[in-house]
Order: sequence, then C-alpha cells, then structure tokens
Amino acid sequence: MIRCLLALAVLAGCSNSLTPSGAGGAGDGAGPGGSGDGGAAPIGDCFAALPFQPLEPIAGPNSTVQITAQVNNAGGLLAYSWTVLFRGAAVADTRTFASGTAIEVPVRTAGVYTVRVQVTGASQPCPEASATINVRAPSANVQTFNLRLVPPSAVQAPVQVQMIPVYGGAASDLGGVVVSTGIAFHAAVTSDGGGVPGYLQFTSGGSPGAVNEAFSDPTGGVDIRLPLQAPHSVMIVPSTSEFVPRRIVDWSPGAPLVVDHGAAVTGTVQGPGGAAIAGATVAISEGDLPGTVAVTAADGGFALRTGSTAASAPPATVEVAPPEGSGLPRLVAAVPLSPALAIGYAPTVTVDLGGTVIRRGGAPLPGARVTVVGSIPAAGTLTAATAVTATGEVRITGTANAAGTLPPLRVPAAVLTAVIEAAPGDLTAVPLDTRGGAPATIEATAPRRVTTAILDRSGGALPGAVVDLVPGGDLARAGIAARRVVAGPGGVVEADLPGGGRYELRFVDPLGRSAPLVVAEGAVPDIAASYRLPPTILVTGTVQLNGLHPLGGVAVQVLCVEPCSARARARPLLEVVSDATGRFSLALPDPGTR
Amino acid sequence: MRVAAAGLLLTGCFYVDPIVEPPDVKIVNTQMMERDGQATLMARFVNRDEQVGSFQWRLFACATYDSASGEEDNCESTAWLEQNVQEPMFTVTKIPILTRPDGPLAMAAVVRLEARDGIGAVATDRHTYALLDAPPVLDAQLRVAARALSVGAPIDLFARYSDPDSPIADVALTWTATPPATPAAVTWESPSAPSVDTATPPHATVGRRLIPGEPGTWQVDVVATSHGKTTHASTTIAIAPDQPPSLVLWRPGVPPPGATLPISASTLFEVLEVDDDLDAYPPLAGAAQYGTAEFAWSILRPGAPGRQILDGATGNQLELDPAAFTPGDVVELRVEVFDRQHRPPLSCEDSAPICEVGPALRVQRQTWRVEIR
Repeated sequence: MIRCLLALAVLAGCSNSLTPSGAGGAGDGAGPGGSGDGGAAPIGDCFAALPFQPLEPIAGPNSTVQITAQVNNAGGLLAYSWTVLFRGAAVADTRTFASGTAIEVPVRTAGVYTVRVQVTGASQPCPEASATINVRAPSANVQTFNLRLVPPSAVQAPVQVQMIPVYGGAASDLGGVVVSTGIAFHAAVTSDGGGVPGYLQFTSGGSPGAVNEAFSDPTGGVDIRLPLQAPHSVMIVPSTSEFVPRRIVDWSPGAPLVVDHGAAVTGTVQGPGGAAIAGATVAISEGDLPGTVAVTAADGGFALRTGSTAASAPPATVEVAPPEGSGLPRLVAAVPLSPALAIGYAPTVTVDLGGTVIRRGGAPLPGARVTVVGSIPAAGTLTAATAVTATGEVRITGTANAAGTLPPLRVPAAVLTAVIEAAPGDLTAVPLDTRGGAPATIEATAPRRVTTAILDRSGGALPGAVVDLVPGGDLARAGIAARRVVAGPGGVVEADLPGGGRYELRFVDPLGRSAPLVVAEGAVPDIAASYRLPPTILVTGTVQLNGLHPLGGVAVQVLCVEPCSARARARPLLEVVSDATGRFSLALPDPGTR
Repeated sequence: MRVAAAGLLLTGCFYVDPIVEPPDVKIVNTQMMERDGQATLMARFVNRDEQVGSFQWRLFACATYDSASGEEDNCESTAWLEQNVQEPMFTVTKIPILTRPDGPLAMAAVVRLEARDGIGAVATDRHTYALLDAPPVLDAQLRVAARALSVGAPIDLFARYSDPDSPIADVALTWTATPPATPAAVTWESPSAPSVDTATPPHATVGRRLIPGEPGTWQVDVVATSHGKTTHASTTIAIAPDQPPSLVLWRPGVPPPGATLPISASTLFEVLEVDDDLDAYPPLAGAAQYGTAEFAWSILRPGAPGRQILDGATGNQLELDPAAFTPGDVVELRVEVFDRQHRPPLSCEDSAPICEVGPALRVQRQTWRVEIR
C-alpha cells in the first residue's frame, strides 16, 4: 500500500479533547517516497501530517515536490516555519505558498530530503513535524533485499525477515522498519499422550531466513514467540531415539505438535570381504530433517527408526560411517527405503600410512596434522527397496609424532588429497595417490603467500576492509575453518594459503565505503592482485517495536538476493546493529540506473 | 532630624516653627561597571526631619565616554532603567550593553538619584560610570557525549559560549584536563569547528575530544577569554576501567543444559553483537580509537584429549559442516571474545560452558553442544 500521509511525532503534554482527523498511519511503515519519524498520535493531541506530491518523486532539473502541512487538533491563527535539508544543508529556492501551509521544493538531485515544519500560533502547542522524502534517481534500477531482524534477547520479539526494495543511484531512508512482538504461545510436543523433549525450529512466512528456535522441556512444554507472517513450518527433532524427526507444514499456533515412532528399519553392514562390521554408524535422514542414528552390533546388525518406509516415500539419505581405523570410506547414497536395509562395501584395498614421514624441504614436520580426503565413486551398495550404488567419502585424520612420522593410519587405496596443517595457520593440500601403496614421505609444500588489495570502485584503497577466506573443495572436506583477514594500509591483504586449495572470497567493508563482494570459489593461484568492491548506496532506517517505539540493539542482517544457494543464504552479506534510537545504516550494493 | 524647640519663659510660652534643613544625598559607590553585569548602588542620605524618604534612581546609557575627563556624551534621553524605592540602595540587575535595543554599544552609564524627604524637600546627585567590557559567557555545564566513560574511549565535550558585547570570534577557549593522578598522559583531539547558532547574542558551540588514559575522576576546565576577561566552567567525569567485551546476540540458540542442538547440514554459527567500550562488534564508527572484537573458536570432538583451536577462525562466524564428523557425535563448539585489553586465556575453567567475567557478568564465552545427525 502506498502511504502518502505521514504522521509525526507528538510530544506529551499537548492535548485536548478533540479528535484528530486526516492523519494517515502513524509511522508504522515506509511509503515508497518517504516516511514520517514519529509514533501514533494520541487522540486529541496536536499533530501534523506532511503529505507530499508526487508520491514517488524523481530528481531532475525541473522536478519539484509539494509538501503540505495538515495540522490537527489546533485552533488559532497558525504560522508555519519550514526547513528543508538535503545532505545537511538547507535547500535553496524552496518556495512557500502564500498561506504558509505548503511549500514547493526543487529536487534536482536524488537522495533523502528532510522536511520540518514548526507550527506556532495554535491554541495548544504543536510539536515540530518532520518527514523524509526519498527522491529517486532517474531510470533507477530496483533490487529487493531481505533484511533479517534479530531483536535483543531482552525484548520479547521473534526473528523476522522483511523484503525491502532498494532503488539505485541514490541514498534512501526506509523510515520505520517494524519489528513485531509477534504472537506468543505455549505448546506441547506430544506422542502417545505423553510429552516429548526436543528441538523445534519454526520457519515463518515462507522465508528461509525467518527462523525461530525453541527447546521443549522433558514434559514436552515449550514457550515460543513467532512472527505474524504465516504459514509456519515446524521442524521437530525429538531428543530421544524412540521418536523420529518430523516437519509440520502450514502449522498455526494452537495446532498440535505431535511426533511419532515412525517406521522401523533393520539391517546389516558388511565389509569388503562380506564380513560383518561392528561399530559402524548408520544414519538415515529424510529431506532436510536431521537423521536418526544407530551403531552396528558385533554381527553388523543395526535397528533404527525413520519417518517412513512406504514405497511412496521419497528416497532417504543413508550414511554409513565405518569404525575408526578401518580405512574404509564413508558410504553415502539416496535410497528408497524398506524395512530391511543391507549395506555392503565394494571390494576395497586399504593402505596404512603408518610410518610415512611428513616433510617440508626434506625436513620432517613434527606434530603435523594430516587429514586425508577424497571421493570414491562406487564404494558400496545399499539395498532396500532397490539396490543403489553408494559413493565413498574419505576423511581420515592423524597427527605426526615428533619425528614427523604418522602413526598407524589406514586409508583407501585411491587418488586422494592430504591436507596438512604443519602449524597453526600453516596449511597445505597435496595430492596423495595410495593406489600403489603408502608413500614413504609426503612433501608438504610451503603455503603460498597471497597478496591482494581491496579497493573501491575507483581503485582507492580500503584499509580496514575485511575478507573472509572460506575454504572449498578438499579444504572444506577436511573441516578447515574460514579465515578472516583485515586489509592494512593500501587495502593490502596478505595471507599464507595452501597452493592447492580453493577458496570463496567474501569481502565486506565495515566502514561502509563500498558494498560487499562475494567471489565464487576458485583456486588459490587464481586469486587476483586486487578486487574492486562495488559502489554502495546508503540505506538508513529506524527499527520500531510494533511501529511505535524506537528499538535499539536489533541486529539487522542483509541476506543474499534470491535466488541464491543455501550456503549463501546462510551467510548474511552484511550486518549492523541499531543504535539506542533505533537508527541503522546499511551500505548496500548500488543497483544503479539504466 | 526633626527639630522642635520649645522654650519655657517665666512670663509665658511661645512657639517657634522648626527650621527645616534640606536633605542631602550622595552616591557613595563609584567603581566601574561591567556591561551585562550587576551592580548595587548606595547613597548616603542626610535627612534631618526623620521622616521616611523616597529615592528615584534613573540610569541613562551613553554612547561616548572620555576616560581622561571622565565625561560622557551621546546619552539617551530616556532612562534605560528607572526605579523608585524607599531605601538609599539600588540594585541594577543588568547593566546595559547597548544604549538602546538597536543602538550603539553603551560606553558609559549615568546614574541620577533624586532623594526626597518626608516633607517634599529634594536632593539630587549624579555619577557617570565607565562601562567595562563584559566577560564572555560560558554555559555552566559542559555537555558530555560519550558511548562509554572508560579508559581509552573517546569522550566528546562541548562548550557553548557567547559574548554579550564583543564579536563571538574574539572569544578563545582554553581546555585543560586534569587526570586523577599525575603525571599522566592527556590526549586531546582536534577541536571541531565551532557551530554558531542564531540566538541573540550569537552563541557558539565547540567540541573537544578527550581520550582518558587512566581510570578515576577527571576534571575538565574550560576558560573562555575575550578582551582580557575570562569565564570558567568545569566538569568532572568518572572514568571506569575498560570493561571486558560481552557477547550479546548469537545464533543459533544455545541448548539448555542437558540438551543438544541437532544439525544435519552445514550450519552457520554466528555472533551478531558484542558490547564493548572500544572493540565492539559490529565495529563502532566515528572515532579512530574504535577497533573490533576478536573471536576465538574451538571445538571439542568426542574422544579428543582437548579442545582444538580453529586456527584462522577469528571472525564472528563459523560454519560447521556435519560431514566432518560422524553421525551421532556430540561436539562442543565454543566461541570466546576478546578485546585489546582482555586477552586470552580466560580465567574461567575450561569445562565451564559460559564464562561471565567481572561484577557486571560480561559474557566472554558461549558454548553450543551440537549433535551431528
């Protein structure tokens, strides 16, 4: 809805018994062209509204905006004192109409204009009224961003997501960004009439970012507060293995939260030679629900419960983690389930890296931590309703002794990669081909000193900007954490990275001089000498609790622009926290103009 | 003094009208006055009829004064101030600055006093006062704006001043900070350009930024000087030691004791807000003194002898990939936060999932128990 009447802040102590009239919504949202700065006006208090025309002004040599003061609940001979500011300076050539109740402002430049009017001569004091007007750049592109609002824990309000359109080419003010206290309720997770403890994750309004969590207590009781936006989707993960995880879509407060025992699955895990494997972990998960887990007994047998084994059910993901020291890969496959599940490893040769020396430049690397990773296309077969070939994922870790020698460490005979941490921050990734047996040595090449520079659009340095180096490929398989580096003078970033590694680069400028930049995963040698961050436009706003009161301490996160990957969706592009007055500023990528 | 004389003669009585001596009045305090100031004028009044008198005080502002001769000129014909009282004392609460609202600067004030005794006899006096330059005016209270009153955190101090009878540009401010113990380094940052408002007379506001280097009570003095006249204002500021950083907001939620957070896909653990005087997250803007919080992430795997520090993970986020673990594993993911003063290790036991430091219970550690599903 386009909101063109802007209600303004009203001070206490300014009241009579009259009824206000002609006011629009009281600061509970941002129209396309601007916003007021106040909350709801109590009935009878003097207040002013500042409607303006056109509703969506566009800058130009002859463009103007006409603003009218509509004063309510104030008799007397009124006088109006207007102030119009743009970038902190008074706007010249503002024309005031003879009555004083309206002005015409030239808007040659796009951006945020602030209009204030002080009304005097009224029968009761009227507070100063103000409004912001967003004047768009001509032919502005528009891009929609998702804002995730995470209120402080002291405020009873849920996490919520809002979509905001951002027009390119000029700064804009969102006005009031409303955090709703939502709806609070008490529920119970039950099964067979009894309570079930567990983890609950609510996703609201169809937005993957609007996630609110809760834990039900041993009686199944849970207190939760959710956004008003429906529908809600609930994922319930019981704490006990006798119940299976469930998702309830289109759930609404008051509806039951029921879990069940699901369906039983039993089976065996056999090794490459057909022998039973004891101590293997079998996990079955359906869709995006966490799995259920069982460990094989001495005879290789296991029993667990899962959501469904019906023929109509979609394939479930089955993962088998062999016991430590076996040297076997982890099996992963999507399998149409049945009550019986037979898991067998393909013939697999393993080799023992025990005795292999980790070296660099011919010298042993004592204490080096080695993680062998890789993928084997057909490592086993899972047979339920049908037989499915499983891939084998290798991730086996050992630590060299003081002589740089690995302890017994069995791995599959395959083309693999050794990710070696010689010391904290000293990483390397080297090919490891064990098909011909264990090598006597593994040469850990020295990390590669990578130097790049973070620049703005014009090539200016951005010292203080940050880059997160997010490992991909084998480094990610090895569980290597992302690394954050801050640009020094000249915007220069230096990092020692494994020459064989791959990284996604995520640039952010905490000072807002440039917009974030995500560089897709690539090889370390391909990291460029410099990166120019996109131009930014400043988008400001005020977080308001229920549209009434400014709310500080709210984390405002900008999520990726859809469509984006689940991984990208999880990582906010940038984040700020609203100040004590609820104000926040975001340096967003400029959608530009056509 | 009332004089009545009666004589007693042997031969009879007679009456003689009293001889009334005229009253006499003289302004006795003749020191100089300051414009915009206050002065109490007194007069010596001799009134022999002993009846209550009355005193009419009038003050005229003059645009010219010859200091050599002590004579004034160009005086206003209308009294700037006039008052009738019954005591030979008169307080002028505001010495004129201008001769009239739109007139020139007042250089002298002529005080005319007319004293009248109880029977109507009149005595007069006049005195010309040279008007001295008024001192500048400082708001009594300095405005203090600071995010935190702690060691190393910038404190912006603002003085608002004016000068009633001189251009505001003639006023110079001198700032002095007295630390709680000496010697101690006092760091001031460049003054901001004065902002002049439109009040009458014009007022200016100028700010200085103080970086206190030690805890305790600091005194800040400001002296405004204009044409040799000074005015002083001061304030005291209690500076606390730099507080440890504190985790404020994080995601996902931390499970209650005994529970675990199940994850089956790569999950981003993040700290959304850290409160700190200097090294907050997201970092504070507006001063070079501000930095950013440092994070340390570690993980305790099942069966591992101790926590593994995740090297290089110094940002506010950590992505945990369940593929790096065995389904069913319960791992502890931990984040600790530090600032420039409060460095690792924390004083809490390693087994404590939360570390709350100091009397304000600043949360420097949070731990998630995560179940790999």
